[in-house]
Amino acid sequence: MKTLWRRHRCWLWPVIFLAPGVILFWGVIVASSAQSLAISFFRWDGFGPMTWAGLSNYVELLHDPQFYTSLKNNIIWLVMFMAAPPLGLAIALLVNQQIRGMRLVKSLFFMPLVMSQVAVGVVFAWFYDPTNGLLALIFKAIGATAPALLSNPEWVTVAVVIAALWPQVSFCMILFMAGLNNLDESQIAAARVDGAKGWHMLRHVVLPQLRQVNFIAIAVTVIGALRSFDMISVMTSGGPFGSSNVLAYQMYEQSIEAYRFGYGAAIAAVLFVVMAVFIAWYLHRMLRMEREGA
Amino acid sequence: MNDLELNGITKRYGDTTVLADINLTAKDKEFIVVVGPSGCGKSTLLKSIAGLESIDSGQILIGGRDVTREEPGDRDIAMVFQSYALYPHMTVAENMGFGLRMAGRPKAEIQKAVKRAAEILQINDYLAMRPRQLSGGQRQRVAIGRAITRSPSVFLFDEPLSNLDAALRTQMRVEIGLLYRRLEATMVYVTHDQVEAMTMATRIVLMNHGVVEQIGTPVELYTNPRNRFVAGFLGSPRMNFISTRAVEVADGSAVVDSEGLARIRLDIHNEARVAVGDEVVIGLRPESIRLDGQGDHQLSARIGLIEQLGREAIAYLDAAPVRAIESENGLGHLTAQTDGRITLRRDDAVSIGFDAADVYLFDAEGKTLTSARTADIRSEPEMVDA
Ligand SMILES: Nc1ncnc2c1ncn2[C@@H]1O[C@H](COP(=O)(O)OP(=O)(O)OP(=O)(O)O)[C@@H](O)[C@H]1O
Ligand SMILES: [Mg+2]
Repeated sequence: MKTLWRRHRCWLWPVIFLAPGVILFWGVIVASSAQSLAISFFRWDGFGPMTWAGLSNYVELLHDPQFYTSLKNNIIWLVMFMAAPPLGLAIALLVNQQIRGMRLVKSLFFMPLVMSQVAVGVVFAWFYDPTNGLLALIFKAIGATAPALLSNPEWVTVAVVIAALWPQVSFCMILFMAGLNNLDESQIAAARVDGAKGWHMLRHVVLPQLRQVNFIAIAVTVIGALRSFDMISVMTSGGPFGSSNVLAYQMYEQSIEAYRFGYGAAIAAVLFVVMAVFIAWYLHRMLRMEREGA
Repeated sequence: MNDLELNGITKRYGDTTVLADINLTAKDKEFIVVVGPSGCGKSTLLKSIAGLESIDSGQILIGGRDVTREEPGDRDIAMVFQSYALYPHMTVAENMGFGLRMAGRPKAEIQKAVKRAAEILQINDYLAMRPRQLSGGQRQRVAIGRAITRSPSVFLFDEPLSNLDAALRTQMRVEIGLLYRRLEATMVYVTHDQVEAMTMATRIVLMNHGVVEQIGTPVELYTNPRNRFVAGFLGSPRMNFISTRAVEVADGSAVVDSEGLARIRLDIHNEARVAVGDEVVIGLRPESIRLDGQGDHQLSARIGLIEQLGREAIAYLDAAPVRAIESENGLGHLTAQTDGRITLRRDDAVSIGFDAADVYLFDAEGKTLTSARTADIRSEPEMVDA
């Protein structure tokens, strides 16, 4: 037994250490993704028998106006979320200044991160409330009436994204703050001697050093935009009339509320493809950056 | 006129004073070397001159212009850092031209300046490469090239060679010396390497605990140290110090005596304050101790250890009851430097000799008491005509 172990331990150890991760990854991610993909070819209410549907779920999706609304909203999320990294960087640069009281400001900016997304959604729903919300009070103060943002199909998505941006900006800020702490002091000193100030210092010396952080911030933000779910669920439930719906929420709605698991799975498959494209790009960039760094 | 003037520079970090009332006037085209033990404030002084650290009081003039409150980029200085501090994402040429680019100079002019600097430092072949593709020595050249490109009035170097190996360090030391003659700019060079200090400086500033102990030419500091700290800092192996007592004080001379050491009569200068019975310390450089017993004074000793360096040998001598304080090997042995061809071995008994003229005398606080002697060693670098 002992000699057997000794002879094989060079490959047994790696296997033992890798096993939990591999099992979880295959069980939770790969297998359920595959199963969900399979379900998308069936009609199924979640309880009864599954009937083969071929590509009909996908065909229906292609003709579903709600699908295009959701897709469009996902794109709005994605575009608006791109404001999070630069805003986070700006705030990180601001709170990085050595001014008295900056610690307090810093901790205030941390706040939205410790709150759950649901709480943020509720807070913003109150903020937008057209009769008693803070926004209404502000409008009243200048003698105007507040728009009912969350029941306006034109503005509802924008309003929800602004709420979701709040914690996202904080998150990017923390990433950049960590990055700013690791700046090479002597490079900054050299650049100061070279006469670089303000924007030039940021553009030519600071930002190049934040490249890795910047990349992570963007990647996390893109993923955050694509899988947006909880804010919508808390603030609008996709309404009014599906005008603030996104793919992730529509999938949930179709499967859990309308008992159409096959159709929901088809939506999930589309979302998966969109994400996969992005992740492939991400991995490609990351590998290239690692190679360059070495 | 590229002279640099520091008037009463004081710098504190919280309650600790890192620089206390530093005064220095570097004439145009001088090569000032700042030396001192680790943590004495050399880098802080350099950063204050560069404007990277603000000072609490004092005034900095460069070329007669008060730059105390000016930004580093406006002070007409360039600095070479110990860690090179090159911008990793820029090519060598971009690194070198960055200062001029920030100053908004036309592209053609930048290119010309970079090319000129690259030729001086022989780095033309690397201009398109990134810093990480270069060796340490090459990076240091680029860092120096970046400084040259801007043709500043004053160059600041913070231990630029300490990351290089011994051979490369010697080579770069000679090159910086040549560069200095060619550029005719004022340089302030921080180092903890005595050889660099002695060979490169027109004047040395020796610092300790944030104060200047002495300023002068290398030979001046070596032959006429103002106090025991300066005497002990310059010279390797360091000066031997022996505790003794003044037994006779007359006008212009004093006699010291201690167990094992014969009475020695020494010339002292006019301001020397010493009284009979005072504890004093005598100093004797290793090269002043002769193992052949020649000299005004002799004592017997036993060889504790010989370090053979080829050209020369260092002998550690047990001369009990005479003991060196703060001795190199911690055993109270005297250190002597002799010709490398000696045949003595460990435990041999020898008679060692020295001349009274080579002996330094310091009071209990470390102030030098012996009168100044003429520097007859020729090792001074060519002084630049002011
Ligand atoms: N940012 C800082 N805050 C507080 N103290 C500092 C700071 N920078 C330097 N010091 C202190 O100032 C003193 C001088 O530091 P400095 O770096 O000038 O020494 P140095 O002479 O260059 O030493 P070395 O030869 O080791 O480079 C040290 O005692 C150090 O602890
Ligand atoms: Mg230093």
